[in-house]
Amino acid sequence: MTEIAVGLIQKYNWLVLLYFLGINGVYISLNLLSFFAIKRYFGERKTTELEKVFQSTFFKPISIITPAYNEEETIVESVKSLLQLQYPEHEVVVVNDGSRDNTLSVLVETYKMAKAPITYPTQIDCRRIKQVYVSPHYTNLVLVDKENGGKGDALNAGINFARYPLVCSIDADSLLESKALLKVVRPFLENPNTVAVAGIVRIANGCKMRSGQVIEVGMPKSSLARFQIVEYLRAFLFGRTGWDVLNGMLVISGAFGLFSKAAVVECGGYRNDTVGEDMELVVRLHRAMRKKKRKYRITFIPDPVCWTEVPEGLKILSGQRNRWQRGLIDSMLMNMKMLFNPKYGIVGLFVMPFFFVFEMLGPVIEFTGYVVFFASWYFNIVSFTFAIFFLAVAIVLGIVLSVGSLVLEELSFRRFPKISHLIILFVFAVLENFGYRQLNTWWRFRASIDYIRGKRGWGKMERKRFQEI
Amino acid sequence: MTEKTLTLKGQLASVSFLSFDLLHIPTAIVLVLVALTFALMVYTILLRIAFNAKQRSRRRQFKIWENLLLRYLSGEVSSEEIGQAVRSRHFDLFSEFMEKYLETLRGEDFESLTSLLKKMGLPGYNLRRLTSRRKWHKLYAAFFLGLMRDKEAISELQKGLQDKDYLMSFASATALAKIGEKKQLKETLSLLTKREDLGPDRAAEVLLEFGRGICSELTPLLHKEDTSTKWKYLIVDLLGYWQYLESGPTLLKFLNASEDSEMKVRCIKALGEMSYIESAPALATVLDDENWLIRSEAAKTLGKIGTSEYSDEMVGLLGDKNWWVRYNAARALMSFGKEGEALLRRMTQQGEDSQVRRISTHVLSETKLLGREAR
Repeated sequence: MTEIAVGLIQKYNWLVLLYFLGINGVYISLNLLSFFAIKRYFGERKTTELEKVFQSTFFKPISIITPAYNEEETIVESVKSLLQLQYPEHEVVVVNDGSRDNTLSVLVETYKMAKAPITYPTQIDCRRIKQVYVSPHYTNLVLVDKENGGKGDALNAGINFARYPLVCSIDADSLLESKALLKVVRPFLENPNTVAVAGIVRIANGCKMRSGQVIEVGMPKSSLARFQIVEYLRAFLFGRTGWDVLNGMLVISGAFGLFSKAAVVECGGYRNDTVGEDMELVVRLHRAMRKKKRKYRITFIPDPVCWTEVPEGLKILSGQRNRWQRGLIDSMLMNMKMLFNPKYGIVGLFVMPFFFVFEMLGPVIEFTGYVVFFASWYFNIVSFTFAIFFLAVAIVLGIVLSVGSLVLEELSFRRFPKISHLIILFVFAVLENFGYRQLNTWWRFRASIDYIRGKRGWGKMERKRFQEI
Repeated sequence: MTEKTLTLKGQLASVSFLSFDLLHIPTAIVLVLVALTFALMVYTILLRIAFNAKQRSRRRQFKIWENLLLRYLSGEVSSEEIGQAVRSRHFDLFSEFMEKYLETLRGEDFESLTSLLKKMGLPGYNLRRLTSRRKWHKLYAAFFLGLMRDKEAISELQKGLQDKDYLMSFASATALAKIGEKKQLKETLSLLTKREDLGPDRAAEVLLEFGRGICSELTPLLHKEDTSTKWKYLIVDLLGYWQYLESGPTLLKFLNASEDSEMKVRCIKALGEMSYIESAPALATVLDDENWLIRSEAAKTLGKIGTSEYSDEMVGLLGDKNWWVRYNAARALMSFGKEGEALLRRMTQQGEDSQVRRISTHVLSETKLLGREAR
């Protein structure tokens, strides 16, 4: 009996080891792909002057949609920064999703907005619109006040009001760099088959801001924020860039993404019954395009930056990760038909299975893997050799990957101005593998359990004002 | 109890599947990975130190060259002296330095600059690079030769136009356009339109570089059957952008005959851009089009080029089912001068339905508010 149990434990340890080998192997490959993709991006950028075109009338106008729910702290600043973006023709559609605070009144007051009798064609269903406001001072600003229906519903309402062929979704607590739209629209000009583009999201904690713009990149004092810098660099710089090379981008962060309005409308817009509406929409876009056998491109640009404040407290961070994980599970389960389905090409045969095993089931495998491994170690079920091997694959490879993403950052954008920043980030790239990653696994593991128990809501969120100098 | 646990541990240990003698392999892997990590960290920091030093030296160098160049342009320094100051190993950096001057300077200064670069041998250097195996060298060479408007590069750039890589083909096309060789337009266009990986939006950059002079050659392409719809859209946009009045009749013909709503909208916009007054009657006929975008754009353009003789049509649109059509019609009335404004004011009281009254009030108060702000 004992021997059977021991045999099973050993097999499970091997399974977990293979899991770590698999996930880190794929990530190393993505890292390499990203290196070449970023090199190409820089080379191309050096020899083109697209901004000249943008300064003329040859551009695609953009409707920026920013859903707002209880954002009174940050909304004025966000809208101000959106209105100041360098782009020849863009409108800002703020959707007040039934906020309980003063989001609506601060906007109306600040921008001297007046009720406007605007009607709109309902292309995607959404909750009842209570009132529409426009500003005579900012003719490209529209405020839509609607009944609360969730983020997806607010985005759908914004899409209905959008006048332009490209819609850009932006979180109300994020800030865009002034040239971000000019850069993110490029793929739509270069490749007529483009349906969606993601930009990079960077962390604003510790940065100096003025008039809604980051004027100096800095290092936050909070350790949690520092861990997240490494994490975001890994996720965006080589994660998204690498998947993009394979045309397998499944995630466009709700914080910053640009979509073809026609494609989104054709897909039925955002779903409102998930907390992962951003990822779900992208997966559904892949599904719809591949099903119709259309040539399409969903891509990522590593340069146009969206700045966001990340949580510096464990409670808020755990809530955010819980929501992300449940959103991921939703997106996977809602599009299960794509899994291992050759009809969906590389997305169905490789990307979706990868996300299913390594991202969706990953926390369960990792968490139980750690528990079983330490128990086996305590009971001497695994040899010292195996333990070292496990350490190499689970921890040290993780460190190599995190350090790799910092190297990629240094070879490309060099956003952190001081050498001391680099050293701090290297230290945190090592440290995150001893506690922070495991904590994340635990939060995501609990999220999976919450999901099974039927938890679906957004949970409590905290809004923080950007620190201006 | 302790003895029992120890026995159990001993038993369990005996079934361990990796024997101790294999220990050196995973240990070696860990050590290699740790060493790799450490090496990457050191490499990155050294890279940053080198980068900072390079930036400092670059700034220093640019300052020296800037001073020399300004003195050269004012005739204080000869081209030979600059040639001596810039070694051939610095040609890449010098090319980068010259970019902003070549982009912004025109006339005599530009001629002096290109003559200086020729004496220094930069065109030859870049022409050699154009045939290099290194893709980014080739691309940059095409880009730089375009900036220099170097006619001697035309034949090499023509070869680049045929390159399999769309980036090279695009860079060559842009360079040829900058050089302004209208003879190359036909070939460039035919190549660009054939490339599936190069959409018309991107091609706009090349065509813009050719400049307004190509309008007469673009207009006939609108009638050609083998010109794709997307290209026709682009051509219409370009004609409007360059305000090429000679294409007005063609655009009007398209507006009247086309069944494509997108084409109609673009034609209306282009006619508005070029303020083609003769198009007003035709615009009035599309005010009842079933597509609200066409109605809205036509109202907007009539507001720009029309006169109060279209007031009745605009008043009619104040009750349109689409808000933007109502809004643009009200704005058009405002742009018709005092007569239009008075009409709009009357509509706030006498408008047929509440929508008419509301949009009239809205546009009037918007204008009033803006006027007050301006004062």
